[in-house]
This record gives sequence, C-alpha cells and structure tokens, in this order.
Amino acid sequence: MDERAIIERAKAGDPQAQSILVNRYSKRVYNLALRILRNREEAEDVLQETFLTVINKLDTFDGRSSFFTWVYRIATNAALMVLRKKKIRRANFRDNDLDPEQIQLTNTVDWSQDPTASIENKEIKQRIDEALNTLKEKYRTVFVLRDIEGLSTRETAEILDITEENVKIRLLRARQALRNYLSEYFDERVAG
Amino acid sequence: MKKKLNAEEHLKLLQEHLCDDLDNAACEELLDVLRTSKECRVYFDTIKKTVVLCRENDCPEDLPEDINQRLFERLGLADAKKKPNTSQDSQKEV
Repeated sequence: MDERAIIERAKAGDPQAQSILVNRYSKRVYNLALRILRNREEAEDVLQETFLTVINKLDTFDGRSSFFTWVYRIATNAALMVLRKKKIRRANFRDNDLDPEQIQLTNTVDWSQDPTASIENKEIKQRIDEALNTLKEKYRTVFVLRDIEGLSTRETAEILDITEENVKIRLLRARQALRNYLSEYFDERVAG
Repeated sequence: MKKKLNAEEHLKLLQEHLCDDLDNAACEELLDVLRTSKECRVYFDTIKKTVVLCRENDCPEDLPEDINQRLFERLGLADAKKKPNTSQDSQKEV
C-alpha cells in the first residue's frame, strides 16, 4: 500500500496503519539511536519516545519533508536529548577549533594501503569504537547520519535543523578526528 | 592554460570532494592535486579509508523481539500487531 495512504489512515487513528508505520521504521530508528548513543537500553528508550511522538504528532506531519526524514528528525532529537540529560563531559577528543577552511595536513604515515588497516585487526576495531565513543555528540551525529546511514547533506541538514554548510564542517571535523585517532596507531607502530 | 592551485585551494577542493559536492571540472582539478601533492594524497586516502573502516565496523542489529514487544505495548498497539496483514509490511534493511 502507498505510504501516503497508510499515513492518512494512521492519522485517522487506524491502529493497523499505525502498526505498519512502526514496523516499517522501528529497526532503522533503533539502529540510529544505537549508533548515536552506543547503549542498548537508551536506544530502546529513544525507540519508544520516537514512536510515541510519531503517533501523537502524526496530525502535524504535513508532507513537506518525507515521512522518513520526519521520523528521523524526531529520533535524532530524542537521542540528543538523552545525551544532554546525561550531561556527560566527554573528553575533548581531538576537538580543537580547527577551521575547516584551513585544514591541517598533519604529517602522517600513509596507512591507507596497509593490510593491517582492517576491522579484522582487533586493535583497529577497538580504536574505531573508542574514537566513536569519545567523539563529541554534534560531530558523531553528523558522521552517523552522513557516513554510516548514508543520508545526503541536505537530508542531514534538515534532520538536524542546521545549514548544509554546517553539516559539511561538522562532517569534516568528525572524519579528521577519527582519522587522526587511527593515524596515531600507525604512527606509533612506525616509530616503535 | 590551467591556473595552478595554491595549498589552500587544494584543501578546499579535498574538503568539497569528501562531502561529495564536486562537479566534473572540480573533480579533474582534484585529480591533478592528488597526482602532484603527496601530502594531499595521503590526507585524502587516509580519510577515505577511515570512513570505509567505520562503515565496515558498523553492524546493524535486528530489532530484538522483546524490545519490539515492549514498543507495541507502550504504544497501545499490541493487538494491532497481532493482526496478520500488518506483518506483511516487512522492514527495509538498514
């Protein structure tokens, strides 16, 4: 059935239509929350909050954005709310005031072709997890939406309610921070 | 004759490319940069590889049945979920 028709039925209070929408997006919302929060219990909370909001505010969905974008915006906001409530003071991991117009080409080993640069390498896998865990929320959220979820710059901007330019800046910083963290591993190996 | 780009322009080009926002002409310029500047090439290749590794490291999970059950209960949709025609609408892969 056409999604627009399902949404109209769901708006009218049809529980089966609402159920179809929940089924259609719940896995994606859960994984999005998991990627941002990196905690299963919190991801479940976000999943529930998201769909409570979706069902309760369905009448405000006007179709200007896609339904998927609308749901993702609600889910992202719910996840960011959890992070803010926790008020975790994350380490200022590589998050200096780097001006993206003046990217620093720090000297680094070219490890891009290194056969050990693989997630089969436990140390690399651990480094990636550490890096993502400590990356500041505003950078991690953009990185997750753009590079992991594969959304466009425009969709990401719409979901986060920021400009496309801001998405690019945050994405650049996130990628650089992650890359620098991995580079350290290879630099240390060469030095050692 | 092509204008020779300065270092700052190289970087701007890399940044735009990494955001997938390059047009064809700019792509050609970028290829020139990558051929002539080792630093830029290393930067570009290691950033690309970082993104690839992060993607490979990401394993989307199926929604556990108990979490799905609690979700439908919280939404008051547990009865609707049991009806056969709702299950026909399978979830898209992440």
